[in-house]
Amino acid sequence: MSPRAEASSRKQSRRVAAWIYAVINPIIESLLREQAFLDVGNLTWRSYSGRCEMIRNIQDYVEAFQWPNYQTFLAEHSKSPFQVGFREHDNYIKVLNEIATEVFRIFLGPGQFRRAMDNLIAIFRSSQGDSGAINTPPDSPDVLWDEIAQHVINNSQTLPSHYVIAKFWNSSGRELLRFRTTTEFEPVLRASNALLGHSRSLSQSLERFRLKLSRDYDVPAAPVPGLSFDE
Amino acid sequence: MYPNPSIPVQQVLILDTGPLWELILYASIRDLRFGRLRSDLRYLRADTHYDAFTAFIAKFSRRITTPHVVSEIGSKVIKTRPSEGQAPIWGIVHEEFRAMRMDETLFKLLEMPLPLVAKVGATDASIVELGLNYGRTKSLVVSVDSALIAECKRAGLDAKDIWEILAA
Repeated sequence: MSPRAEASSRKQSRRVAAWIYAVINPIIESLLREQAFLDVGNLTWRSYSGRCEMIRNIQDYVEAFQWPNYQTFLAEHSKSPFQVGFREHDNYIKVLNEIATEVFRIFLGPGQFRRAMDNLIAIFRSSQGDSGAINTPPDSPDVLWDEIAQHVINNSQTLPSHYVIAKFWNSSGRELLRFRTTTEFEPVLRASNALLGHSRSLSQSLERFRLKLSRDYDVPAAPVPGLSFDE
Repeated sequence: MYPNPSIPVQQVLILDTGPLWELILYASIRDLRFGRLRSDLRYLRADTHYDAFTAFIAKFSRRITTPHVVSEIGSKVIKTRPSEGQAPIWGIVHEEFRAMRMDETLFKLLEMPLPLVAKVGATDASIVELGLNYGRTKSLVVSVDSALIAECKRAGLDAKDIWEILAA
C-alpha cells in the first residue's frame, strides 16, 4: 500500500471503528437478545403499550447520541442489504405488535379464554380463603385480566414471588398457556417465527460484515484498552 | 422480635435503593443477558438468594419507595454504560416496579427536617420520613446501607439489612 493509500485507510479506520463499536456491535448484541427472547416464546409484549418492549426497531438498538454514526453508516452503505434488512426487521416487529394486540383483544372478549380465566381466578380465590387477593386493592379487575393475558402471549412459565400475581400464575398459569395452541394464537406464532428467522439472518450478516470491515481496515471487533486510532 | 421471624407483622415494605438495584441487576442479567453486570451483584448472587428475597417481599401487601430512590437508581443505570444504551435497563426497572406494584411517595426537600437531611442526605431522609409517615409499627425499611438502618432504628422504625433477610 502506498503511503497515501495507507494514510487514507488510517483516516477511514476511525469512521469504521465508530460504526463497529457504536452501531454494529450494539445492533448485533440486541438482535441476539431478541432471538433469546423469541426462542422461548417471550415476545416481551405489554398490554399497557401494545408492543414488544424489549424487541425494538433497529435504530432503537443504537444509543441516541450515536444516531449520527448510525445515519452515516446507512448513508455509506446505501446499496448494501442492510438498509432493506433493517426496514424488514422493523416491519416484522410492526406486524407482530399488531397481531399480538389483536389476539389480546380476542382473549379478553367473550369467549373460551375469558371464561377459563374467570373460572381459574374464582377457583384460586376460593382456595385461598381470606388471603386470596391476587392483586393489590387499588387495581381494577381489568388490570388483572390484562396482565394474565399478557403472560399467555409472552409464554411466561413462572413468575418471581414478588410479582403480585405470582401466586395465581404459578399455580394456574399452565392451564391458560394451553391457549397458545389454539387457532386464534397461530398468527402470533407465525409472526414471531418470521421475525426470529429474519433476526438470525440479519445478525449473521452483520457479523460477517464486521469481520470484513475489521480485516479491511485493521480495526479490532471490540475496543481494546490502550489502542487508539488517533495517531 | 416476632414469634416467627419469617412472618412480618408490618404491612408496608419500604425499599431503599440497594435492595431495588439488586432486583434490577438480577433481572437484567437473567432477561437481558447482561452477564457483565454479575460482578455488581452484592447479595443476590445465587438463585436461592433471589428466591428468598422475593419471597420475603411477597409477604407484604404494600411495597413503597420514594422518587429520591428512583433518582438514585437512575444514576446507577447511567453507570452501567451499556453499549445499547440505557433503554433496556430502564425497561427492567419499569417492569419490576409495575409487576410488584411499587408505589412512590414524594417528600419535598423543604418538608423534611434539615438536620436529618444534612446528616444522611435527601434520599435516606426521605426513607426515614416515609417510615414515620406510616407509623412505627406498620412499616419495615429494607436497605443495604448500615448508616440508614441505624438512623431508622434511632427514629424508632424497624429496619433490616438485606443480608438479615437472606440469612433468616
